[in-house]
Amino acid sequence: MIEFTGVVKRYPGCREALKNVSFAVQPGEFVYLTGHSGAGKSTVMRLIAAIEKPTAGTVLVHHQNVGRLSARSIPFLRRQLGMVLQDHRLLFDRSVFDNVMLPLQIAGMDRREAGRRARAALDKVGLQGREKSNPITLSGGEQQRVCLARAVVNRPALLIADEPTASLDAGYANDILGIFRDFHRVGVTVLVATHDESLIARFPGRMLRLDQGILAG
Amino acid sequence: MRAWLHAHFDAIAQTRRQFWRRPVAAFLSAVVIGVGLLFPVGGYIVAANLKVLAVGAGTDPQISVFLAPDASAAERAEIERRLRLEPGVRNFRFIGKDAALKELQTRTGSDDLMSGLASNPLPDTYLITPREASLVAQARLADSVRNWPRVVEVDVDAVWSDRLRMLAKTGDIVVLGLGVVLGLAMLAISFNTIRLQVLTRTEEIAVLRLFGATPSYVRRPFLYFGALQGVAAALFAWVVAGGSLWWIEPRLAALLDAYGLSSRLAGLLPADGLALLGFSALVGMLGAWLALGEH
Repeated sequence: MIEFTGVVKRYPGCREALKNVSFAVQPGEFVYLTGHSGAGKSTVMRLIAAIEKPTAGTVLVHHQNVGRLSARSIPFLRRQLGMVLQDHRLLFDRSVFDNVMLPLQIAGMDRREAGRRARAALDKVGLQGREKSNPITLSGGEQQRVCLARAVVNRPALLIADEPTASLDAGYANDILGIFRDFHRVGVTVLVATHDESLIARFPGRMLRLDQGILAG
Repeated sequence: MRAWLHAHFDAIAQTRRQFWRRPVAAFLSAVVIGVGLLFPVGGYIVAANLKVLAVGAGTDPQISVFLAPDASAAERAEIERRLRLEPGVRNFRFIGKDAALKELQTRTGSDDLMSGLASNPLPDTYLITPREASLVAQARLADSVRNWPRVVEVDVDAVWSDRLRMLAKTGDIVVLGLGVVLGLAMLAISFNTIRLQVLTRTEEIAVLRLFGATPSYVRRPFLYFGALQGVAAALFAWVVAGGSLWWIEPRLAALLDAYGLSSRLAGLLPADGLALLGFSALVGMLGAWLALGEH
């Protein structure tokens, strides 16, 4: 599903964010990517979503070489991904429902079908009845759930999340991770970047540890 | 095809939302562009009316050919033969010296014009209607007739209508120039309004891109907005120009009547109006396209 081979990422004027990183995530796996902040977790996420291109090495997502992808193909790769980002990136000029609808609208789905799916996604993350609210009126945990609903609304086979529980207290964090678990149970491949090792202790899974850009195992 | 239509409906819906987010700003930008459009539109209407005047006032340009006072009937016959052969002449009319005198007497209302004169001093005259109305063609015809035997004087009496016609032609050029300059101004205004929108919506655009929006998906609503703004501006200009004509026509009627001219003013024809709408929409869209730059 995801395959990194000898990946190096160097930002201009900075040290290497990733140094010769190789790993693979098989379909149906639930994998944690851990490490201190600055270890390179976000860079891995950005490479998978084709927000960045690797300086060296290859990144394969759905058997596509992300580094070689043309600008025209990148949008279509992103439509196959579910993404939860560190900063929520919700749009506060529209309702919760419209935020969740966004990926389906972009994909050009019929509005009625899209609406049905958006409601189902909100249902799954426990936000039924909040469709018309503005996301700014929601708590941090609820906003994170909206992000999660938006990430899974187009039923991706792969879900990646960058620090999805970073700003949440333990209760909310457990809820969110429980939802990830539920998606994993129905066959979605999940990659979660987190620095919160206590969380991993509660929900065990395979772990990839990054230390200053090097994969420690 | 369905997906394509759907994408466009979606873009139009987004454009509508964008408009209602800042209706006053959108309306005022359209008004600014509309005022800019009014200048070439007004110029176009003035030029069109000048042309109507030129046609109405000029009727047919005429060339008067005066013969020597002692020209004989045989010499007149020769002139008439040449006039018939001359390709530049549409038709001609002969006014004999006696008829001319009689007309002068009736026009001035005095019978004793001849009292101090031994003989009729008026020449025999031919009035020629040239085939071509252009000043050059008339001058060429006049020059050739001037060299014929027994022709003393040739007079081209179309100067006023020609001046008017030239004025109208100059007007066309001025309108075209105004159109180009103000088209550029419209482009700049459209560019700025859309640029501002793009800047205030960078976050939204980034999120759209992140969730798989293609560049054309991002661009489309802005392009529609630019076009819509252009159409609104053109409608504004059309309505204001039409309203001004309606207001000015009765006030100008007395003046035009005094010159024996039609007091009906030429306005924008529906075809002109539609062309204006199309042009304005296109310029608005182009402005938006330029403003989007790398997005």
